[in-house]
Amino acid sequence: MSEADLELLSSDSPAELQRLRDGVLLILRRELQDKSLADDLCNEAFRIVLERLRQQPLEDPDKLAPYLAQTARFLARTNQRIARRRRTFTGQQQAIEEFGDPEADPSAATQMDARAKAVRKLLKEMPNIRDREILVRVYLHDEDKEQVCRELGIDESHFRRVVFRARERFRALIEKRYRVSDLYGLAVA
Amino acid sequence: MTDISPKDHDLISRYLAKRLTDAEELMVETRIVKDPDFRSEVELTEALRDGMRELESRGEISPLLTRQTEWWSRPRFVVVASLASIALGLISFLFYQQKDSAPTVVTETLRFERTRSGGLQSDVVWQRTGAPTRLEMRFDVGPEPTDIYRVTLRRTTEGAARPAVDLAIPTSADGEVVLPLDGALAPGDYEIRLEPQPATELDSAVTYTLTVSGER
Repeated sequence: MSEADLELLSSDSPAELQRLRDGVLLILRRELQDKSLADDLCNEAFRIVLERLRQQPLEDPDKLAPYLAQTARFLARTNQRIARRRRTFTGQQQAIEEFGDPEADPSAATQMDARAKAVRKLLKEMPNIRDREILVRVYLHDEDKEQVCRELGIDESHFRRVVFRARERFRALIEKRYRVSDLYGLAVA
Repeated sequence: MTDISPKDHDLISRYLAKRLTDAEELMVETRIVKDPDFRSEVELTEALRDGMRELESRGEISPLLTRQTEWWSRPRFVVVASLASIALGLISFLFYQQKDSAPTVVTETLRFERTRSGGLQSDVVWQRTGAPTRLEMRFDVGPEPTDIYRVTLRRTTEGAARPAVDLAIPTSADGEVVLPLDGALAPGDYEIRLEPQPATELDSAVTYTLTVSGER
């Protein structure tokens, strides 16, 4: 990417550009669950944005981030629509998907194991069973904060305290060996 | 530690659970692109969720949500601890028994007077007991003893050819000849002869008799 491109992206340095790219990649990886496809579409998103900026630079530099995010999402959803259209329906789709080998990528399996161990250690270290339940309800069952507080009979400050401490502890456990972004990247690889 | 607010955490959780409106989703993704700290929080939350899911797939979540039995009250530990206690008690008891039954050696002193009893009766009659005994024979050798006596002890019941004891023993400071014997003598009659070394006119050889009774 040239200096002119960097200027178009309102970025002073390649490091700044890399930060933008990491954000776009995260959105695409989450949406597509496919690392190499996410890489391709990330490049495509930057190409589209640069071409658009060459024709008409942004008046407000703060709009670059939402523009990139929106472009990435648009590309991801378009790709998913195309993939659905191309899919051959055999009536056995669920069986075919379940046939995949979850251990095909040993490094991904190792990373998954590391995360599971960190979560197990995190939960075991929490002396209060109810606090463990808060985390399970929030992060596993995707329950609302209000619902969790109501059903467990706790106030919001206690909820926030538990979640905050748990996240910090989990971060410490996981960062002992990996950067969080590494874990995430390998998880969806 | 980052500057992510509790509201942001809530937003991230809802984003990952796909419970945001399109507008909220765009707002979150815009922050993911421009704010590295926010992106890091999203990645951390995702890792936490993935770890939870993995644990659940292994069936490890439910046990973590029930109160664990303390290790010291688990049945296996209780059984092992009980057996260990019993074994320890048994070992202690056996040691105690062994110590308690350890033989105690009794010292018995047999005194042989210069004035002989005469007749058929032995000078000294000793009744054996079951306990291990150390015999100490003390002989009165008169007012002017010589320095050394040759002491011989012979069993006469079965006519032993050779003496069981044949020793040269110096006279003690209090004018006695002391013959210590480790182990009790077997039941029977014995003859103990003291010969002054050298023999003098005033002090000649004296023979004492001893009868040991009781069971072997």
